[in-house]
Amino acid sequence: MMDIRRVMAHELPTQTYLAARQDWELYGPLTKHIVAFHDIYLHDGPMRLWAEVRRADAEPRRLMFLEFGAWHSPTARLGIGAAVRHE
Amino acid sequence: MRPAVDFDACRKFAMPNQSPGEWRLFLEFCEAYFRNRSVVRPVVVELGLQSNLQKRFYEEVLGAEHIGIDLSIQYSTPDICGNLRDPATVEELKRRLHDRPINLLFMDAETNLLGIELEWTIYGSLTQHLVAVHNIFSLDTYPTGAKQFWTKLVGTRYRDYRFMTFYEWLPPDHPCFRYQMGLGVVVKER
Repeated sequence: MMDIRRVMAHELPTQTYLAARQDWELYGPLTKHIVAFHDIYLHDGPMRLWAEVRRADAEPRRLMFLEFGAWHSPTARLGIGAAVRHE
Repeated sequence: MRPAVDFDACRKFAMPNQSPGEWRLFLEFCEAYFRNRSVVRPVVVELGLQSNLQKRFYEEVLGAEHIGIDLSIQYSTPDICGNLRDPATVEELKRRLHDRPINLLFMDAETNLLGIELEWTIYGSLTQHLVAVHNIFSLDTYPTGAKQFWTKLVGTRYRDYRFMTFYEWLPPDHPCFRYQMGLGVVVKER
């Protein structure tokens, strides 16, 4: 089992919600520690998926949701969301 | 070389008024930042201490020299007790710095835009590496000065510095929901 697997929407032809969701569904279950979602502040697809993943983690909560942002200008920030499994 | 840090040991410490995930993430970032730049004993200046529970984290996790400044001794024991705008407070800080720059400035005192801008002008100019601004994503029930300051600073200085944000998302029914305020870090390099 891999320890870290990144789901990077920008590796896909488009930053669509469906493509990102498919990544999450395929590779998320194989991941032990951290799944990182790219572009959660920029593109609608990853943004929507990030919100859904957070909502879906109902009781008992298994994940911690951390967000990292780098601001390249007042309006441009890509954002990485990290879903971290509690140990 | 800095020794390896046992972050799990921090769980035994009394938690300051910070979102736990955000706080740990911020400390891990600072620790790695200083380690990668061979800053062995960073000077941390904290403006606004409340209960001063952060001091232990700075000293034991970052191996820092921590100088806390607060107006009041009612809730904590500041290293420098004084009004942040008072020139005597700044002079006392400079005396303790002995011409060294601040490596990490944590701004958590003023909550209005004007006050935070003044802190940035006075104390930010003494800082070489990182300036952390608390509450940049605060809920609307809190004063929004930090949020305004952050937006304004990014807008005017994004070509000069790097701007990072750290945030732990919590659901509304979480006991720490009201503490998810977001930390903005100005990295004074490009």
